[in-house]
Amino acid sequence: MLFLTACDDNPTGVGVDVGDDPLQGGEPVTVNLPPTSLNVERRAPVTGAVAGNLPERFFAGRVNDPLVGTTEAQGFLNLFQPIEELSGSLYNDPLTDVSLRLAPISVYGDTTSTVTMALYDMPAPWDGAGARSDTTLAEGEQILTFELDPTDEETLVPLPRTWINENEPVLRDTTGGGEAFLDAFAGFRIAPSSGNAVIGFNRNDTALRVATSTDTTNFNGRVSLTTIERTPSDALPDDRVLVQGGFANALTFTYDFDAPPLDTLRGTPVNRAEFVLPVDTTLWADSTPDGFARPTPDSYSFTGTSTDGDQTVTLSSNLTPFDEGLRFTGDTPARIFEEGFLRESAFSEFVITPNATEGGTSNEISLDVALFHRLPTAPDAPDAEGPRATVTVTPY
Amino acid sequence: MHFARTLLIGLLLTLGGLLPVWGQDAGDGSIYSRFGIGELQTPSSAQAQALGGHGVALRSLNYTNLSNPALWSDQVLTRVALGARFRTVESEGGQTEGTSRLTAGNFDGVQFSFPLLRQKLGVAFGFVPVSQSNFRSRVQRTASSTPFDETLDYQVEFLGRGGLQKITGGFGYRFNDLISVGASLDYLFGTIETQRRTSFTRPNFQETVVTNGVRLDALSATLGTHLTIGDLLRPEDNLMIGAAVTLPASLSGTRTRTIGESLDRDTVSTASGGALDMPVTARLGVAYVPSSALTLTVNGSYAPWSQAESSMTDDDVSFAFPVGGTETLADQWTLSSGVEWRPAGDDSFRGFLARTAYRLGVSYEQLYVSPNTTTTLNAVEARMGISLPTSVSGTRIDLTTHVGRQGTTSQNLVQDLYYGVSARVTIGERWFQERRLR
Repeated sequence: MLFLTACDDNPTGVGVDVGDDPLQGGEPVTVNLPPTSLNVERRAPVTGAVAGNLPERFFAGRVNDPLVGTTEAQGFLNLFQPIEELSGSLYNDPLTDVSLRLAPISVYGDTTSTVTMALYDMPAPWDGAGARSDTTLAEGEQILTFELDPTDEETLVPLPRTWINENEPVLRDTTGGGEAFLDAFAGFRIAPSSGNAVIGFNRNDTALRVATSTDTTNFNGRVSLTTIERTPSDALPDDRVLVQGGFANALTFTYDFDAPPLDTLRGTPVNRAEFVLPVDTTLWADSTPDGFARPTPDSYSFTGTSTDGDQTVTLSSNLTPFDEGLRFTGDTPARIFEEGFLRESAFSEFVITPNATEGGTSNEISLDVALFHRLPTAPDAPDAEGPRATVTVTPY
Repeated sequence: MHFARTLLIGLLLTLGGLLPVWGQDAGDGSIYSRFGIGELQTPSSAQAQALGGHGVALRSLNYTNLSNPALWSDQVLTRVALGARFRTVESEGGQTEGTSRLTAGNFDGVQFSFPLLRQKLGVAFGFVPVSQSNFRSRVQRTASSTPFDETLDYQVEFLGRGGLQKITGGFGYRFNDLISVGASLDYLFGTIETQRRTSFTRPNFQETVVTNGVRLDALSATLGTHLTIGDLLRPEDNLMIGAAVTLPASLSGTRTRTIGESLDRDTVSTASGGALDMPVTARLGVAYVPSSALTLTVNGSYAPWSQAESSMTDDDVSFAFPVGGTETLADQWTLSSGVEWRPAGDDSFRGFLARTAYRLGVSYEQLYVSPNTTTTLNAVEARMGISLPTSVSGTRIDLTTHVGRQGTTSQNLVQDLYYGVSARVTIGERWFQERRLR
């Protein structure tokens, strides 16, 4: 009987309109809900780490971006001493060449011209693990300046003879299993001198190449750090906001379900919800000179801060942007609004952070830039253009 | 006999399979079950149902008729009866073209009865459906406005679920060969839900379910009497007159509106403290038994539902109950007639087919709901059934088919053509009686 019941039914609309109180409702309505607030959180992210940890990237250079303003990055690097290889010729013979090997992995700025960097000694050992982008370190003496073509895969910077002579004993000092080297050698600072680009490097591909007449070894990167300073551009309109890795690196917004217009939807079931954070492609294009590279995030992390403030919940770790901006839909946004309409909002704040790698790792650093719309200030502004949540509900 | 035993086992297994789903989603039926407290059921006996109605005058040693407690005095055996129904409803009319076909299978209640004093004082208990709401309509639509590039098609399905059940218990007492009386106490309870489901074919759109539910309960009582006049027109004939009154009851209700499915529902509004006052129901029947082989019966009932009042319609806290207010309720009356022929009469030594009872019944009903408040709705129904004897004395298997039509296609209403079959097993054995011989 049950089987027949299940397979024999052929319900139609017959009967829907019977009576003075017919069956009705159920039509979905789609509304655009702008966030209650939207801001950029300017964080000084962790940019320093030792080998085996993220971030592996470090940056050096200065760029004057018509859209963003001036960004100046200084890279700090210290090295491993290859103790086991420091024997024979490398331990006994005079050093014939010491060069810093740099392998650019990214360019932010003018890609058509070379940049000039200045290489400095670090005057004292420093701890880069967990250091942030606003860290201040003591300045050492300049060793040299060198030119770097951003499009080159590798640049070798030969260090002067005076530097080699001065540091040869330290480089070869394996006393204490390398403790003496760690105490005496503090690494380098790479700072911009001229040019209009910030170059990114990978610590693991950076080394000090040390050679004698018969042998060569590498002092590989052990610890790196990037410090960043930015002077904002006056050209940025008030209704736009920049999210930039390494500086203004989080877009935060809130939804107050107890305030209009959200409170009018209390108790309403949700069919679909989508967060939409549009970007300004027009201003972006107008502000990008020929040959100027301004990297954009490949993906974003979308997190929520729990209402009690105790927890940060990752809602999406790899949100891919579209041409017109960032969209986030699916079960999670629908549940967020359903929770807010039916019970109590689970989150007090939502945070969008650009990921620095294609794999969605947010612990890496970047200088990627995205130009988002701010909340419109004009009362008659169309609600379908700014940042919003497009929510489809079925009123009862 | 072997056939009867096999049939009995098969029916018991079928009924057993239906037990777990009783009171839950058991299928779909008429849109008219959306109004009032749902489609009213007539708990009586398998014999009375096949003869078209409640059979308040039908004395029987083989059945316990729940419609009239006075009939419970006639018991000789301890009885258990349980049954199931299977019904298909084809509806057409209204503003929608085409035909809707819906099918439902339902457990039809269980009865337990036994004599305290043989054919003098009997007791009966029952757990039976009183009403059932089980409509289902589905419409395909396109959203009038959408911010999306394409049109947004969606489907809305309206479902009615639940109904009232009754636990009843009472006694019947026979003063003499002429007259008997009975009374029962009835506890009515149940939940009636109207559900609206909006679903989509596009990805990332989830179905939403809004359910308006009302939980009801009430205490009532049924009083009955029965009169038997023998040797009226011929020797050994019997003219029987029965009457029963179910007293008015106030159904206390709590209305809730929920969002979501089954265990994951969120209650968005609740309104308690209301009540629907059900009217009195009076039943009258006449049965004439010219011989033990033939039974003729005529029955009628009346319930002034137009006088029902509800305090669950005048607030905006939640939805109104009943749907459309009490203006959609109308006086209900029924008229039915039937004939039963059992060739063997009381001769238990005749063959199987001769001991089988053959029944025909017809009924006419003015429904107690009038959805548009102006149109009176009627139902006509014909029934045909057989009652199979078994090798176990006092145990019978009753099969009844029915076909009927209700409603009208005018006034934006719908007309239902329904048909189905019901099965009921009535088991009788001697319990609680001392052996006379050792």
